[in-house]
Amino acid sequence: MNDKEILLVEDNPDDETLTLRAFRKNNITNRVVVTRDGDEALDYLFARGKYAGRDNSVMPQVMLLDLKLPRLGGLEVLKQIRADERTKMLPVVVLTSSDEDRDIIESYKLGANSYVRKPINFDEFLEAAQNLGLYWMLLNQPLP
Amino acid sequence: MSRQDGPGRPGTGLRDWRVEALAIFLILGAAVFTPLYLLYLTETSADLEKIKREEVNALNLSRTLIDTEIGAVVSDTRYLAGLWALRHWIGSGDRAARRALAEDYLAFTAEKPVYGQVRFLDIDGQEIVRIQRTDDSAEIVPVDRLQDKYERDYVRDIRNLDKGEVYVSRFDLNVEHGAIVQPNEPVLRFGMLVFDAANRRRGMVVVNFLGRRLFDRLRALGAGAASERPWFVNADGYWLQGPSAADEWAFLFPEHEGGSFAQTYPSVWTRLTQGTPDGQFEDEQAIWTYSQVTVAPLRDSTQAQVADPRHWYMVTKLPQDRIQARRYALGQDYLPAFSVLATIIAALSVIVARFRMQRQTARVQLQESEAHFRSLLEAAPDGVVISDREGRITQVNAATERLFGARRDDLLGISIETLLPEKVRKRHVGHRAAFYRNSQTRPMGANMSLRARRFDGTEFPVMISLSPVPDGEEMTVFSSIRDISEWQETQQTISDLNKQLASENAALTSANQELEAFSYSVSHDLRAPLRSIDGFSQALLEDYSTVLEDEGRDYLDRVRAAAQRMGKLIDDMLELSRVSRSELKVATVDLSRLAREVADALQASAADRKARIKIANDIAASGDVGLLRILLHNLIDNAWKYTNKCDVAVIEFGRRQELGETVYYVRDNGAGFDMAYADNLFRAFHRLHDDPAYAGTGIGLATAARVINKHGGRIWAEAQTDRGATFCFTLQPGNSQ
Repeated sequence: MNDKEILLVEDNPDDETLTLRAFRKNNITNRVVVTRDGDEALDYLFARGKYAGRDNSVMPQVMLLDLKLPRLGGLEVLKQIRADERTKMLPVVVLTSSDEDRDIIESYKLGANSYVRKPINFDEFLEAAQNLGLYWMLLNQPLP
Repeated sequence: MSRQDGPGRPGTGLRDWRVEALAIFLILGAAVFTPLYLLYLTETSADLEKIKREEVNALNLSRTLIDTEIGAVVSDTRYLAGLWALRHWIGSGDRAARRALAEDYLAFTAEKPVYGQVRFLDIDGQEIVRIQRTDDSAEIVPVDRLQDKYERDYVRDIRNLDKGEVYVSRFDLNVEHGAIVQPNEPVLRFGMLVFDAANRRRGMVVVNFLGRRLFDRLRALGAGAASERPWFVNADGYWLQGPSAADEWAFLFPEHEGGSFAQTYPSVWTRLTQGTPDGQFEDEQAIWTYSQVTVAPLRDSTQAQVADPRHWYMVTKLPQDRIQARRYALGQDYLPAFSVLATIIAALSVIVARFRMQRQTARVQLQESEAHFRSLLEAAPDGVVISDREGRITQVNAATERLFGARRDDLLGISIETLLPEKVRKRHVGHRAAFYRNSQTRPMGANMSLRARRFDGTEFPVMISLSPVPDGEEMTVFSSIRDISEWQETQQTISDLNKQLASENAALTSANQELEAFSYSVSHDLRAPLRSIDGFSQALLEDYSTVLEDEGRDYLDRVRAAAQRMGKLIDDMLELSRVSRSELKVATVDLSRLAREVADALQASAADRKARIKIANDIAASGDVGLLRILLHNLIDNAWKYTNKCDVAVIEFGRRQELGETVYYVRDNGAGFDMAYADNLFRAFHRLHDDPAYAGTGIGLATAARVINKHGGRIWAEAQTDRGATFCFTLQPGNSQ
């Protein structure tokens, strides 16, 4: 089991199920941490609130961030992540169900590394991961 | 000089000044040339007088000469008659006495070349002594050659003389031996009786005076400057010296038919003979100057009387044509001065006439312009009030009368403050003074709401603009007054409308914004469930394919298809609404590049489809790049869709010029459509094909049409069923719109 974590921030349970299924189907066996909204995601990253006891020296390898989140929106989360030293360099892949220009532009402006269309277009995801240099994370060849 | 001639009548101005110039020329000319002419006349008449006097003087001179010469001859004759030698011979009668007499006579004659012969004849006419002059000397003619001259008439005449009288013959030509001596020798004979101591007649002295020398000297004297040499006419009217040799001595040559002066100039001759001895008169031929020459005794000698004094006439003819020629020559002298003066006067006349005409034209123009100004004033829509330094109204126009409800007479002369509301009058006086100190054209009372007061007391809002008008030394003020009550109302209405508009605009903007936010979130919210439907259906198909039978799989396929179609619908509607809402950001757009991007994406998405996509290069247009991308995407995607049954799809994008507009087109060789339904093409949701092979939402063309509309262009299509379709559009308002 690959101990590299993937943080998925997604409020829609259907989307979550489909995403996890996509990972499974494509042999991504990394541990996927799912947070349901922006606050929870930040709590996880900064090891506070619900995740207060987490060892926050271990950061996820990549964060999949849905923009449409209740309360704290995805872009706001992104902003906060990029503002903190600990999470500044965290690779963020924005999930979007549209290719509205302004979402994309805004995301990049705020420091997103990539975006992928929902439902998880797995090819796009692969490409994004490659671009982020996370390819090795996706291998899951069990040791012979 | 402008083409606009005199006062309103075309062409007369021009003619008038020429006529006037002519008149001035004539008047000035008369003034200047009259004295000149008088001067000329004076000069010519003075000249005439001069030459007439010259004639007279010349004649007088000649006559004096003749008088002198002939007087000398008379006294010489007396001398010869009184010689001692003669008396001695008379007493003695001998040869020696005759010889002595001859010697005396010779001595006398030798020194007197004027005498051709000097003789003493006895009482019967027999020559006793004769001295004959030869060419340059004299000689005593020998006795045997002495002649008897008894028959000669001069002998007879002399015999009839009284004592002391001297006989003078007529002028003759010398005759020798019966023939006239040639060349002519004019001769005048003088004679005197000689008496002895007993007073008996004993003989006569005869002297032949040669006239040639006299005539030569007369001729040498010349005539006056203008006339011919003087003529010498005898008492019978015959020329002795005349115009030509043929005319002279005509009475001696009857065969030659030479005329006589009396015959040639009878009227002149009459005057000569019947008038005064000397005179000058004029007839149509010439000016005649004459002088009667009478042989008279020398002044001092009272003893020798001339019997039957002879007379002759000296005449000069001054032909009229020569007088005219002189006048003419004199006139010639005046010519240069005359020409110069004439030119100067002509120039002066023209200048003066034109100057006068210009002045008159200017005067007329001034009157016209004043009248024009007055009519402009009257026609002006605004009230015009012209006032003087004291604020008194000097001029108004009709509009002012209307504005203030007053008659012109009531307005003139009153102070301008009368037209203002009472409460501002006092202040206005001060303003007026200030204006005069610092006068520039400006509106009155900037930023104040001005009101004026009608004669009936009502007030109305006005706009007044003031102009200082310098008028010589006085300064007047030109005020233009406009009743702005209507304008104010209009302004209020406009302001109200504007406010209304602004609030409506604000409402619209906020509505738009709400719509935008709404569409955005709606699309997202609508898509989420679709994702779930499609996603889980796919998951079912993938994970439970063995459990599902064909029919189950088919159902799930349909579920997915429906979800996807709905997703497309949502996307298309979103796009349509986005297109409608967005503002045109105009830039130069490379349509070829956009089309190629769209085409490449399509080809990439279905790599196994054989398609030839021809996109013309360098098609650029002016428009919104985002909207144009959507447009091209819709059109090319359509073409791609409807050619998917072709073996090789051919899709073209290009442009052409049609009637001065640029028309772009997307052409395909696909399914085409029936032109009968073309009206519905661009309406949302209307589809012309039910064939599931051509799945579509029916929004794409409506969206394309919306983009074109925003750009102000037109879009239309031509097609034939199964023969492909061409969609054309323009991006600018065309010529026909």
